[in-house]
Amino acid sequence: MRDIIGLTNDELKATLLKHGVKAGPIVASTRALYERRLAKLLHSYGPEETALNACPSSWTMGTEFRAECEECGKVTLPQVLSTSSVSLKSKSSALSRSQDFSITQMPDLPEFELQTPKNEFFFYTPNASSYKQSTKEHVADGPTRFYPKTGLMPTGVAVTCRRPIKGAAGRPVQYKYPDLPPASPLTLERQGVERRLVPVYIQMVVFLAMAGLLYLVYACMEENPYNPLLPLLDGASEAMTMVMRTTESEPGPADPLDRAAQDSLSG
Amino acid sequence: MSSTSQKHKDFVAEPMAEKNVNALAGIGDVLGRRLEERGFDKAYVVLGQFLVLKKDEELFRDWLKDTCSANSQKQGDCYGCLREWCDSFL
Repeated sequence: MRDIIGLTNDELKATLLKHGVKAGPIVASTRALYERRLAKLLHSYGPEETALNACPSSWTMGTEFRAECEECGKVTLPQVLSTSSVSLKSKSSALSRSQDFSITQMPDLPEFELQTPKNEFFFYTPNASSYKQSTKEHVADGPTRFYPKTGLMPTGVAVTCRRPIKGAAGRPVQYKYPDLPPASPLTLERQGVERRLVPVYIQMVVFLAMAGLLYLVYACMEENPYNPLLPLLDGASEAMTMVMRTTESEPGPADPLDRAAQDSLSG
Repeated sequence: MSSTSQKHKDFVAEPMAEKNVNALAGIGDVLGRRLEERGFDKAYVVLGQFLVLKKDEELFRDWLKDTCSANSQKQGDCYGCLREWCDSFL
């Protein structure tokens, strides 16, 4: 840590860049943060045991991804602690059999075996279920993973892909789960309304019939000397007479129309 | 993703102008007082720090924890609030 403090701002920035961290401006308020980040990177890639041997007893858990030594301020990761505690106990067997942890694995850490349930991480992570799954893998030697194995982000944080959310953007429920009926009450109501409506073609037929009837009425009633209407009137009067013949029981409504047609013809 | 609070919605709805640091989501009376003691008395000063850290989430969370001992939830709220404000107005 002393050598990190001794770096100038530019050297600190260059060192961070060497480790793949693109740092922003290193000013008074940001320097401490970048120093800590560099220390974390160095301790994760460097020898873990030397860090612990320096101060073996005074490690405290800080935030989620680091543990600080109270005495000397060294920062490391909890995996390092558990790794080293295992390796200190049995150095030879630590590297003999490998246990693959898919979530919290750093690329250069030596893989260590899972000995007892006591050998657990000091803190609870959201990926504890995958941890248990990976222990079962070791026993059953199965190829299936609960979470896909992903690498590290440049900041040293291991991430995993969560299962895609049903019905989220780009994954509409109807496409991904076609057998699943949308049970929304609004959808059901809309379907019910659609069933009750009269089919469109019947509406069109009724509309055309009404339009034709109204046009006939208009043509018969209108007293217009223009030529284009005369053949139409002839057609209209013929149609009216036909209607009269077919409905002889009701001569009332047809009579005035017929009379009007005859009047216009004569006039 | 948890839903955002009313404070968050109020903050990201308009330019922050001279709003106090207590107006930030996740920053209440206690944390606001601690920030003011460190010199971050207005929301735009915290915004300045957020931008100097290049809007990096981890760095900003660490900085909040160092400066006012905010817990993880409050760190996330403040980060999300500022990030969304920057998306709209910066």
